[in-house]
Formats: sequence, structure tokens, C-alpha cells
Amino acid sequence: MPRILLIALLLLAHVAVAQNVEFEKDRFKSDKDGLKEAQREVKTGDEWYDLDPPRYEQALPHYLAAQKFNPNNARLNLRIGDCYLHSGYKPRALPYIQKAYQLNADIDPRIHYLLGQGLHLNGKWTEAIAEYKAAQPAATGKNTAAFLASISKKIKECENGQKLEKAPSRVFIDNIGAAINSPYADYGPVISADESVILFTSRRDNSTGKERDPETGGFFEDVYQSTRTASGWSPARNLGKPVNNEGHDATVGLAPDGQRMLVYVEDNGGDLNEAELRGAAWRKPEKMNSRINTRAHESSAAFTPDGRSLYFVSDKQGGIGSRDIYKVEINGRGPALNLGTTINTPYGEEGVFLHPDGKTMYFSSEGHNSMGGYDIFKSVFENGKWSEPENLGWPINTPDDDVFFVISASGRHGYYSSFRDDGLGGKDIYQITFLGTEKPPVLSQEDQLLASRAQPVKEASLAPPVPIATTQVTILKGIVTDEASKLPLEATIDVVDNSRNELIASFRANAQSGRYLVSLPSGVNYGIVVRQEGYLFHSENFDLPAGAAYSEVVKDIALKKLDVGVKVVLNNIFFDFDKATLRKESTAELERLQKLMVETPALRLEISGHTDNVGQAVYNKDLSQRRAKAVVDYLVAKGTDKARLTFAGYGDTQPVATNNTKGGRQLNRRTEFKVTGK
Amino acid sequence: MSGYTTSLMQKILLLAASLSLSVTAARAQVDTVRASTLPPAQQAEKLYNSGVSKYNGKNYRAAVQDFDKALALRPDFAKAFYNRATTRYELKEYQLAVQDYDQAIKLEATSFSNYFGRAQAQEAAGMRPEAEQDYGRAAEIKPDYAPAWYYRGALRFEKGEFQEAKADFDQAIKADPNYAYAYHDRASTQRKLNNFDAAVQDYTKVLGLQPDFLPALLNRAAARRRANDLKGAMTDYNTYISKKQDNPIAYTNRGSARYEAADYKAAVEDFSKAIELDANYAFAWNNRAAAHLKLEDYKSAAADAAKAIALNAQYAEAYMNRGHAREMLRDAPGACQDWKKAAELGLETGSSYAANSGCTE
Repeated sequence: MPRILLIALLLLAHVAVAQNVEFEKDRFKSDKDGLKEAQREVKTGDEWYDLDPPRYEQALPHYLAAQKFNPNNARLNLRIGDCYLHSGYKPRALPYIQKAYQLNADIDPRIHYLLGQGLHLNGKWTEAIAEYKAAQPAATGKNTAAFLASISKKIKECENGQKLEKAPSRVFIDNIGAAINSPYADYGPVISADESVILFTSRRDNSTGKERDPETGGFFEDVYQSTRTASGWSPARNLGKPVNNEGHDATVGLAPDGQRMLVYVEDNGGDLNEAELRGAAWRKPEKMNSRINTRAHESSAAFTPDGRSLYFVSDKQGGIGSRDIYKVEINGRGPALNLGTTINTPYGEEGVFLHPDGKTMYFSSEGHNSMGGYDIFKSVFENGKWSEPENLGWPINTPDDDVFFVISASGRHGYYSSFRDDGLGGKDIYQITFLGTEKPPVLSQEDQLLASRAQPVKEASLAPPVPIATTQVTILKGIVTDEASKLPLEATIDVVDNSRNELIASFRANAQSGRYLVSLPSGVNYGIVVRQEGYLFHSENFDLPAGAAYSEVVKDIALKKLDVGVKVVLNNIFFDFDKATLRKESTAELERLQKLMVETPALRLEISGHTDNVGQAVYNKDLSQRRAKAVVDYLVAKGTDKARLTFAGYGDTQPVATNNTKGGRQLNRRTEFKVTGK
Repeated sequence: MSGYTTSLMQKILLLAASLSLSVTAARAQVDTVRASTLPPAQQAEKLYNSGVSKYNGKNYRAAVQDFDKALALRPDFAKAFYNRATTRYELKEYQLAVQDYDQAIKLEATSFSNYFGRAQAQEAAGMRPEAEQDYGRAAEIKPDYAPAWYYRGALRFEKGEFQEAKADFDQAIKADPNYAYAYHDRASTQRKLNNFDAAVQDYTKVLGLQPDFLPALLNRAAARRRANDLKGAMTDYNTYISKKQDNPIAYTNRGSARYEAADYKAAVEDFSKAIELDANYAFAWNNRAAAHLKLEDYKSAAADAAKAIALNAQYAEAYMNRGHAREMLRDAPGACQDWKKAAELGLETGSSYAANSGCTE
């Protein structure tokens, strides 16, 4: 008997838990006031929820208040679940949807689909698939095909998620901190290549105009900036006018040197503007040309490292999916080109970012092997085509949308925004530290391999080392100053491909700080020329073979004014080994020198050759002299008056560095000129 | 390990006896001169025989004195030089032993035992190239004397000349098809040459000839692991441990096999047992650190690797593992320092780890 009683009690308890409770007087006789208040909350929530489009964010707090009073109303729980599904905290929808289903299995014909979504967003892949399958019979009417297609895609996403979660990416994901994040929504981070500057979008209460968007109730978007200091990020500051205005202003891209910014503005269906940093102030953003901006929605964009081209996202007609990625030469004439089906899918692509190596693109897509919503992908342009996009994996990507990801030149840090439980409120910006593939632990083993020896023999470690991929770009940065006054100069930095004698790109150092940064993708012999009117040019050489690993070079450059006695090293003049024959890679530098002679008719120069102390002094002197003469001969052949030029070979008698190191000897082997008259 | 050496001694004793030599120990092939063949006036022979008798009584100092006297009376007494050398070997006076063998060889250049004896003394004195040469000479003079081949093989193995070592062990086995040590060391050579199946076969032969030679079980287990027979390896380790429970190497190596089978918790148990047996066994600490890394218990991993480093400050693998643990514990500078140290000590991957993690110079 007691056993039967227990079963009966349990059944009763189950019925009690699973019973739907309406907001009615009969149910809450002892708390009429509480009921009235809860009914009011439901009504207000419904008013927001029933608007077209529904205002989920506004409805949610009212529904939650009512749910506190009566947790067992199926309709209310379902609506709360739906509000969460349309918020930043989508995984929170699940318990409410489950409760709604427990209280009333017929609450909504789409209930299994909603349950599937809730489970999917919580990474409960198998259960989600089961619910999605259970939702299939509910597909009726004219949208049946679309609904079934949507279910199939969701199931595929869950299958992708299952696979990706099994091999998680090794990363640390850290909230970037209170200097940048606020209790409001903070998102869309963009960084300079060396991570010294971050710009992002925020909807905090000190936005320009301090007005709220009537549609969403949040403050209007503004662009904020922070710089990295020795102790971390500086407190973010609103860029103010002319970048930020009363409406929405969002940053979507930043050039690697941090001197040009791309801003999204809402007019014309959504357009891209470009702003330039002059000194410490950003100039008014200018609308980009009509080959980029159309009446459709242009959203995110990224400069190529040379600053000449732009990758951008548009939902204009004729694309492959709802939103596609295009590339265009900014000042060219050709139309923007769709990147094609390797990248663009029948679904949406968003948040394009180009690594400073110029060939690795990061973007978000709802297609490919996304585990739900937008996932972040990586593709590399090699041998004339984009590689198959690679999902950055769990836990960077989640079943929800993961968009607007950027990565440092070193490839060590990525930045994006996300709703997470450790956030400071709203969406927050997170830093991802990439740890690379697992570093295998190493074990030791020894055995007594020789019978006649008591001493065991140590064996090789069991775990083999793993190959390590590094980014293939060199970041050259520093400050340009006037050698005499030490004040910063807004010099021009030309990046030249020595082999092709071709100007790749020109950048300007910051007018106020003199800071410059150039990204040099591997595989080119670069001549770097720093020039400013009234100063002698300065040249540097970076010969980066294909595949050269990431490095960051800091080089402060002091430009010299044209005065008698001033010496300038010509770092981009190359000779054949042990000969005085000029190599063709020297052409660009020689032409620069020739131009200088033409532009300054009174200029007289001594061209000199120098060696290190390896070899015989007599030989070195002779070789250096013949090399200096080769330069003079070139200039004379190009029309410079012979009387304006002298040459000398100093061998190793005028070193500029120690001869005891390889680096020092390299500096000593040089061709330079000295001003002998002006 | 001394047990193995003893059994080897027995082996050489047997071989020497079969060659009709009066042998008292592997390295003491001390011959006596029968008194009946000697004229009574020859004191040298008397002293010589007295020396042999004292040697047999392990009274080595007194034996040397007798041989000294015999040689003073008869400087061309080759056997006396040989026996004094053998006695000096027992006294660990290896250089003096070598000098006596030199004299014996001068007087009797065709005696293989003079060369073999000198080779043993040279090896003991650290003169390995000379020893290798003399073993070779002994083997040349008497190709059916298996120990000469065997010992040269062992020296060549230690030099990393595995092909040459294998050829010597082949010869030793040819000379003595029941020579367990030669099979054993040939198996180890095969292992070094990555011929794991052949290695397993030779170790199995050893266990057939000498079932109580347990190191062959451990070695067969290691060879089986490399031949991807993890199950067979585990059986060998288990058999070994069922017979001998006091060897930390056995637990450490079984732990490594368990690690390979991704059974990290069981691996930790084995490494812990090894540490219990020998708290100064750095390999066990290091390997337990590796297993903790796999179990994502980074604090324990860092602590174990640190202990291994405390025991051996030049232990590259332990620095590497501690670097990994420190990385996961968000101690980037510490990780950088460890990876760089590992690279400095020969694990070059440490440099790329450091470079890719943004470690500064």
C-alpha cells in the first residue's frame, strides 16, 4: 500500500508542476494586488512584443517581472524565451521554452523548432537535432519548403558544431577590461597592426548628442579610441566631432598604420566613409566612391596593406547570397569584384578583415561549416585563388553570431565582441590569445639496452615536435624626426619593390608624433624611402624572402637637412658578390639619387664605398673605390655633370659599427654619399 | 644490475673453460705452470705458482709481489706478465694492467687472450678506441671466441655505430648460438635501427634462453610500443611488474605506455609509484608533469616539472613541460624563460614556441 501511495503522490506532484497557471483571480485569491501588478506587466510586455517589428528588449523586463509572480504560465514563458532568442543572451531562452512546453505541449505549432533553437544555442547538439527533426511535421502551408530548408540547415549546423567542439581551438578569451568596455554595448573593435591603437563602437551614455535611438532605446553609436600603454589600455575616449555625430557612427576598419579609418554611416541604405588622422585629430569622414557605396547596404570593410584596395561587404543585387564580400581598387576605374563562391555563399557574409600580410582574410559567414548564425572563417589567397575557408572553431565561434573579428599582425591576438557572462554589461570586447596547436608534452624514457652495462640508456623523447605556422609579414615602425631639432616630421614613407623598381605604396608619418608603421608581406626585396621636402632622403632595405616569419622592427629615422658635410647611406644599392657591377635592384635608389641631382642643381657629392674588415685592406680599398665609381658612372651616364661628382674608396677605414658582429659588418659594408657643395 | 654482470662472468668462465684454459674468472684467466715440468732451481716458476695460489685466494697484493719477484728473475716470463696484469685488473690498477699486457703481447704476439685481457683493461681505463681495436685483434686471432665480438659490439653500440655493432653481435651469436647477452644486445641494436619486429624477436629469444633475465621483458615492451603493439607492450610491462616491484624504471616506462594509450590517470598512478620507489628519479617527475598537462591539471604539472628540474638543472624536457604548464597558468614570462632554456639545452622546438608566443629577447 505505501508503495502505491508514493507513486500516486509522485504523479500528483508531476501534474502540479506541469500544470499551466493562468493569470486569473481564482488562482491567486490571496494576492489580488500582486496579480493586478503582474497582469499590468504582461500587458505592457505584450504592447512592446506585438509591435511591428516587435521590441523584444523592451518587452522582456516586463515579462520577467510577471514571471516572478507566476512562473507557470506557458504563454508567458514562451514569450520570454522568444525575447531572449532575439537578444544578445540567446542561450538564456532555453529554460523558458522548455518550461512552456512542459506546461502546455500544444502552446505553439513551432514549439519543437523553438526548443531546437534553444538547445542549439546552448551547444546541446544531439538534443537540438532531435527537436529540429520533431519540428519537421509542423511545416505546412506556403512556406513549407523554406521552413524545411531552414530546419535542414540548422541540423547541419548542429552536426558542424559537434565536430568542431570535439577539436577546440586553443585560445584564451579575455574581457579586454573596464578601460574599454562599459556597462553599455561595446563592439566592432579595429586595431592597428602592432596593437598599439584600438578603435571601437560603443553605445554608452556619453555619446555625441546624448540622445537615445527611438527604435531600440539605446544610445546612438559613437566611435571610441584607446591606446596601449605600459600598464595596459588607456581609458577609452570618444573621438568627438567630426567623426562622431548625433546619429549612429560606427567604426568598421582601420589601416594597419592606424592613420586611416573606415566608418559606417546609416544614410543611403548604409554606406562607408573614410577618415584620416592628421596629427592627433581625425578629419571629417568622407564618403567613399560610388564603386563602393551603392543604394544597397555597405557595412564592413578592410584596407589592403598598401592602402590601395578595399574589401567590403554589400547586399547589393547580383550577389551570391544575402550579403557578399567584394574587392575594389579605391582609386582605380574597374568595378568592385565579387570574391566568388569559394568565399561567398548563398547565405550572408559579414565582417571582413584583411591581415597585414595582405593575403589572409578573416570574415564571418552564415554558410560554409558554420555551427550556427555567423561564424568566423579564415582564407588565404595563394596561387591566384582563395583557399577553402577554415572555421576558427570552438570556443571562438559559438552557435550564435560571431562577427567583426580582427587580428594583430603577429597573429597572436584577435579581437571581437561577444555577450558573455563575465561581461561588464551589454556586448563587450574580448581579446583572443591564440595558443596554436597543442604543444606536446615531452616524456623521458630509459632502458638498460646493453646486457653487460648496468647504466640505462636514455631514449629519444616520445612526442615529436609539431610544426608551427607563423604569419609572414614584417612590421616596420618607428618615429621620423629632424636630426637637428629632434622634432617629429610628417615625412612620406615610400615602399618600393626593388626587383620590379615599382612603388608599392606611400604612407605618411603622423604629423604630430612622427610615428609611422608599414606592413611588409614576405616575398619582396623592399626599399623603404623616407622623404620630406628640404631634407635628404633616407633609405632602408628589407629583403624578405617568401615564407619569412613574422617580425617587428622598430627603426627611428632622423632626416638630415641638405648641408655640406652631411652623409647619407644608400641602403638600396646592391653589387654582385665581390664585384663592382651594379645589380638591377639598385635602379630605384640610383634614380632617386639622379632625381636629387636634377632637383638641386648646385649640389655636389662625393660617392664613397666602404667595406668591413674581412679580407685584405688593399683589396677592400680597391673594391670599394671601383664600386663608388660605378655609381658615379651611372649618374654621369644619366646626364649628371661629371664635375659635380667625385668618388672614393675607403675600404674598412671608416666603420660605422663594430666589425666583431655579423650585423656590425653588414652596416659597415655600404655605399654612401657626402654633400661636398650646395 | 650486478646480477646480470655475474651471469655474464659465468658465461665467460664457461667459454674459457671450454677452450681448456685454466680460468678463475672472466677477467682473470690465470694459468698455473705445472711444477713437475720445471727444473727445481727455477725459482721464478715457484714464485709464479705461489702468485697464482694467492690470486685464487683473492690475496691480490701478495700475488702481485710474487709475480714481481718471478719477473725479476725471469723478465721474458710472458705468463707472469699476463697473470700480474690480470691481478692488477682485480685491484682496479687498469693502467698498470695495460702495461703488463703490453709486455705479454711483446713476448706472445699471437695469444688472443693477451689482446682480450688488454681490451678489458683498456675499456675499464676509459681507453675505448684502443679496447675496440684489441677486441678486434682477439676476434681475428680466435673468431670462435664469442665474447671478443660481443664486447666490441657493445663498444660500437655506445658509439652509435649500430650497423657495425649488429655485425659483431651476429658474429658472437654465430660463435655461440646460446649467447643470451648477444641476442639481447642485438635486439637493442635492431631497436636503434628501427627494426622493431626483429628486436622483439631477439628479445623473445633471450627470454627463451634465460627466462629470469627480466630487463629483456622491459626492453621487449619498449620495442613493441614502437612497433605499435601497445597491447603486447602492456602485457610485458605487467609481467615484469608482477615479478619485480622495486624498479622505478619499470613503473615509469609502463606509465609512459599508458600515457601513449591516452590513459593519463593510470599513467599518473605509475609515475607516482616510481616516485614512491625513488623520490630522486627525475624522469618519473617529468613524465607525471606531462600526464598532468594532458589532464589539464596545470598547477600539478608545473610543480612536478619544477621538482624534476630541481633534481637535474640541465633537464631540457622538464623545462619544456613546465613552460607548457606556465603558459596555461597565464605566466607568460615564466613560460618564455622555460622554453628558451629547453632550447638552450637542445630541444630546439622551444625557440619556436618562444618566438610564436611573443617572448621578448
